[in-house]
Amino acid sequence: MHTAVVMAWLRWRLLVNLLRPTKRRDALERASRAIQVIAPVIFFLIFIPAVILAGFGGGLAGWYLPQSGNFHSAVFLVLRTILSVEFLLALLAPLLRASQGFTPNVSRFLLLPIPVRDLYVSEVLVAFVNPWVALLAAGSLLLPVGMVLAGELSGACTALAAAAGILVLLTGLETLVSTSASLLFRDRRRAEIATFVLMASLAAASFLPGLLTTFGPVKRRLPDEKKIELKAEQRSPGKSKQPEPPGWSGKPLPLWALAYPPELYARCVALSADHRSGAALLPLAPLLLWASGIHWIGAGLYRRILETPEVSSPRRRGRGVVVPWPRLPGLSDAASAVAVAQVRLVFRSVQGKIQFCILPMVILVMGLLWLRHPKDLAPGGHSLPVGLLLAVAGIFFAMMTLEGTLLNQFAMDRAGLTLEFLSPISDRDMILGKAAAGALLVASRSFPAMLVAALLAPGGSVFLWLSLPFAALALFALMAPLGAILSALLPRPVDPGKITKQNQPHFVASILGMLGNLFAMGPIAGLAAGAVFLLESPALALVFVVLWTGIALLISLSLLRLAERLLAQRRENLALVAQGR
Amino acid sequence: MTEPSESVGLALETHGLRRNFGELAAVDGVDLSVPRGTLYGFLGPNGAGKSTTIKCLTGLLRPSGGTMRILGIDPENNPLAVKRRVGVVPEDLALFDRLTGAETLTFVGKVHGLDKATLRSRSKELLDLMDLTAASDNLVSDYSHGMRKKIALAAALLPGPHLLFLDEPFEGIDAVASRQIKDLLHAFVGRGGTVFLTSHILEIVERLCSHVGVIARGKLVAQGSLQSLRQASHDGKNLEEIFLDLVGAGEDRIPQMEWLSG
Repeated sequence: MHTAVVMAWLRWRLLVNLLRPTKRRDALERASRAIQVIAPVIFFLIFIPAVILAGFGGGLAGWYLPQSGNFHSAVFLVLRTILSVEFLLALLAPLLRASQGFTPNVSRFLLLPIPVRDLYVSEVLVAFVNPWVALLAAGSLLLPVGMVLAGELSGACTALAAAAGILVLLTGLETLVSTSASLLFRDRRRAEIATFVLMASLAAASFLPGLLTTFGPVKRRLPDEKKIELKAEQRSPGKSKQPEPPGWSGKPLPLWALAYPPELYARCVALSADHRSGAALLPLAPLLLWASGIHWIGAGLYRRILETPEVSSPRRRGRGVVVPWPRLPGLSDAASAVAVAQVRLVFRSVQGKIQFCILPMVILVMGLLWLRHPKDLAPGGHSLPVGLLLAVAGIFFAMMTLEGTLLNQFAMDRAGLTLEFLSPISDRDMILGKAAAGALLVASRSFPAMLVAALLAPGGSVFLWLSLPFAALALFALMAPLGAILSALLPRPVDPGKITKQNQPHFVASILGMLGNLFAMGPIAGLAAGAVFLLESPALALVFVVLWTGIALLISLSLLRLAERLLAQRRENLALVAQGR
Repeated sequence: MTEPSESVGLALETHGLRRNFGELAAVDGVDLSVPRGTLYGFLGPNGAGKSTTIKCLTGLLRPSGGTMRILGIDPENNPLAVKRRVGVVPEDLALFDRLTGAETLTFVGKVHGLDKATLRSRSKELLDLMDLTAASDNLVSDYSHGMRKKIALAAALLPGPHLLFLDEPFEGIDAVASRQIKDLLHAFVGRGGTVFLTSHILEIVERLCSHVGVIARGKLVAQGSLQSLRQASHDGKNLEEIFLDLVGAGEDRIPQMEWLSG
């Protein structure tokens, strides 16, 4: 108990200290940090009423279920859905957290005089702080209270035991997955491969429903099927709303439920509420067995993670002392070195790899869906130049995925930024190098996407296809200086080895960057649409887009000078932020 | 580009160098004089202002006041000229985590405009010397602390600097590497180079450095050759004793914690 209190205090202090200002930040930096901290505070304020509401819901369900009524099935549908989501979260959340670099760093506690068993227990107790577990705890623990109020005392006892069982099981499962993830993710290379596989699998899984609906057998509902159902309903009103007879809870334990603990809990509660407390013990026993088994394995793995030293992948043999480092045309040695370093860093990050691989996949899936039902997406049933539109989407997505790099281009170098600041690299070379890196990255992402679009649906005007690279150049020409300006004003320390929030730019910079993207696309879209639809000349669209690209490059040059001056003024702060201070 | 004045015998000099963080004067009117061709140890207790001084000298922090000349050049007016002539191993080592050791050296070489042959031969020599050849293809993030320190030192030496700034170069380094680095620094100084280093290991500074500066609470409290400092102390004290006297941590501050009975 003492250990649990100490651990709770530690977590509380870490949270509070996060909000404390530090002396080394300037006013702008402090304001930007404060904005980032507000979101969790708001979440916390919303969370407390949500827990109260969940408890009230649980109590109400407990009071309602032992009585005769029409909605027992509906209540259990909600309960089963919640339990399935919780079960999935307990499995996936620790993996996702680990892929973002949040693995429990328990080794630092090893030096303290705390038994491993106590550490494990405190780790399990911490799982109760997770919002989804806390919500379930409130609901499931107050459900038996509702049953007591409804007069079902013996049922309440089994429901309470089942609630304890499912909560212990879910927290144990989360700790077990989290510990396993720690074992897997504690080696950098292995962690990055696992993260890449996990993210790619999740992305692929998200495409599946769309593809299955499109290519799977479609069962179409006959137009008058609904009417027939309505008439039948009118002939025998209220037939489906008979109060559920006793025994509504069904069989005590179907065999398949043994493998799925949430169903064991649902069965146990249903039988308890259905005045069959004796039968409720049948699902309760395997539920408690599951919970103990998971904790037994979890505690063993936890001990293993504490007792085994850090491991690392075997080192690669050195191949050479000088690596290929191309000099980019039109850039100085220094600017070229900055650009090549940036491209290498992005391609070595998990996020960079995922974005590079997934964008063509997204365009492919979008194209397949579109080509299968072209008229669903075309206004008035007109045929659209699908390939061209997909290619435009590819350019837009390529720009969007570059956000993490473009809008935080200095701080993302971390300690490497100090090396750049210590090296004889002028502000201009720095800005130009970063812009060149951004251009290479946009090209590396948009070109495969455009290629997929062209192969999938090659139709449309050649002039419009030719205008696409210019459109991409014009768009990037305006975004490059904006990215540099926002990166200098709103730097955020990031870790390129992690994904999602850990590797995102400042959220104000993200919003401004997104707006900038839309504004920069406006003239291009307007000019192309005007030429095609009003003047009916795709060739003119190409001319207009080329002219606009020239104008955009001129605007870009003057904005890059502004970014250069800003960088000179913000060097000191950027170096501090990049070091994570 | 301003060429350094060869007549000046100082590699580094500052007058009234100041750096404030709000109300706190981290560096408070420091007048440094570092002769060319010397190994200069910059000492001070934790939080005395050593790293802040180095950051000001290397352009990572803008001084709040005072003047500086590095190798005869004013770094505020011509920072790039200074950066072309100095090598720095700062406190946080300043390395890209996701470049390999070999790529780090290539990056630095390219930024300094070294040709391919020079870059190859210097990189090979430095990697061999630092015993990093076998690990040259590994990401810096996979290096141990000692390896990171060595690759940072190799990167600082690669362009052939005239002046080296080293912030705690011997911290976390094994005895073999430490010996190699000491030999390297002696050779560097023997060929006319200047080293400005900070260290908490006073024994190393005493054996390695010819000149010492001591900073306490942001102020330079002593500066000169080791010999002159010893003579000034009159009692033939060693550097540790001189240092403790200067920073005001004498025997009267021995803790009286009787409960530490063992």
